[in-house]
Amino acid sequence: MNNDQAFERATRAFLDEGSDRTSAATIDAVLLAVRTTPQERDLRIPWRTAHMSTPMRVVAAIAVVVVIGVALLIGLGLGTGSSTVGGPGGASPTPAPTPSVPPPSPSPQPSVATGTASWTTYTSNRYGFSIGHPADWTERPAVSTWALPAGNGSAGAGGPDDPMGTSTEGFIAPGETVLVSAWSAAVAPGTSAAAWIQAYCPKATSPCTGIAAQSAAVSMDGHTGSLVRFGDDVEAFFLVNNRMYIVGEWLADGDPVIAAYGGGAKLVEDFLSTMHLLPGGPAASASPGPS
Amino acid sequence: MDRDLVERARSGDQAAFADLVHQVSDTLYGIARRILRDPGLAEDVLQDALVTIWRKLPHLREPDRFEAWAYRILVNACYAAAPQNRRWASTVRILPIDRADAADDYQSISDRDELEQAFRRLPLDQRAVFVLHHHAGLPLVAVAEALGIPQGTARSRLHYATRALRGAFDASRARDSLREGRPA
Repeated sequence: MNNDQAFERATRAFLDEGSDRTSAATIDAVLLAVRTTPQERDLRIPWRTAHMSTPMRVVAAIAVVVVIGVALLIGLGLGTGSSTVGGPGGASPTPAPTPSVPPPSPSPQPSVATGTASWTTYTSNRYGFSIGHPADWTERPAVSTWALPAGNGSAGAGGPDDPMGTSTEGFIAPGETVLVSAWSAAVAPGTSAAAWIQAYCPKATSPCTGIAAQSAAVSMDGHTGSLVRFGDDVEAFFLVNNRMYIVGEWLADGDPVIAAYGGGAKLVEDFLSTMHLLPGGPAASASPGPS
Repeated sequence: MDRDLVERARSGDQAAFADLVHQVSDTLYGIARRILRDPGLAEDVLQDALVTIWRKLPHLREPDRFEAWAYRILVNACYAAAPQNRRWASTVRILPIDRADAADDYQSISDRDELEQAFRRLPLDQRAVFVLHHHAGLPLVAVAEALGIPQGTARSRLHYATRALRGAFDASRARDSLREGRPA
C-alpha cells in the first residue's frame, strides 16, 4: 500500500469513527422548543401569486388600487402638499420633488451608535452604497438585482427577507438570528417616496394602512428618509435622485431576539449611521418599480 | 428528502417537523461533531440549528433545497458556537474509538491521532468544506452552494485542509519509520 492509499485509508477511518446517533434528550429539547417557538412570517407570500385564480388576481389588483387611492385621498401625511390624486386608476402617483416623505417628528440627530466604530464596511457597487456591519456578522452579497415587480408579478427567487435570497445585500448575525438587508431600486421619475412605499408595502410586508403613524424621520449620509415599524419588520426608505435605498431587518421592533441590539429600529438606525452613497451611484441600474 | 414533509413543516405543521427532525438529525449531528470535534458541543449546536431551521422554514422557497439550506444553518451555528464556548478552547477530547477498531495496529492509531491533532488546528471554514465533501459526500459545487461561497473558495479551502492533513500524516509516518529504523 503506497502513501496515497494509506492517507486515504487513514482519513476515511478518522472521519468514520464515533457514533452519529443523536441523543433522545436533544431531540426532545428541540421538539419542546418548537412547541413554543413561532415560525417567522414569510414576507414574500404576497409576491407569490402564481397559483392565484384570475378572479382573485382581479380582486387583489382592485384592492391594491383602492388602498393606494384611499391612502392618497385621506392624505396619510407621507406625500407632499403638492401631491394630487392621479388619473382614473388612482395608481399613478403624481410627480413630486424628492425626497418627498416629510418627517412626522424630525429626529434631532442621526442615531449614531458608538459601537459602530469597530464595524466592518461593506461596499455594494450593485446598489451604489457602502454600509457597515458588526465585524462578527456574516455578509451575504447579492448576486442578482432586485426590482419591485409591477402588478401581481412575482419577485422570482430571493426576496428581501429570504435567508437564501440572492437579490439584496444581506448581513447575518451569529447564529442566523437576525438578518439585515440593504438594497436600492430605481424609481420612475416623478414618483414620490410615499407612493413608492405604498406600492411596495402590500407586496412585502404589512400593515399598509396608517404607515405615517408608524414612521419616524431618520437620516442617512445627509439625506432624510422614513423609518417604518411594520408588523414584523422595520425598514428605512430614502429616495435620492430617483433611486430608493432601503435598509431593513426582518423581526418586529420589539421581538425579544432583537432586543439585544436595542430593538429593530435602533439596529436599523445603527446601520444607517454607517451608510454612505457612492458618488457614481450603482454600477448597474435596477428596473424602475411601479409608479 | 421528503418534499411533502418539508412543505408541511414549512407551513407550521409541528408533527411534520418532528418527522423531519428524526430524518435529518443524525446526519446534521454527524457533520457538526466532525467539524467541532466535540460531541457535547455538537449536540448543543444541533439543537440551536434545528430550532433556527424551524423558525426560518417559511422563508425556504425551494423545498428540494432543504438539505443544503439546513447545512448552511448548521455550519453557521458551528461557527457561532465555537469561539464562544470555553470548552472549545480547553477541551482536547478524543472521540471514542469503536470496539471493532481495537484491533487496529499501532500505525493506524498513530495516524488517526496525528490527523486528529492536525484537523483541530484547521480553521473552521476549512473543516466545514472537508467534512461536507469527504464525510457528507457532497460534490464541491454542492458544498459551495450549501455554504454560500464561490466554488473556487470551496476548492481552495479543501486544498489547504487536505494539504495540512497530508503533511501531518506524512510526518507521522516519517517519525514512526525512524523509530522502527526503516525508510519512510
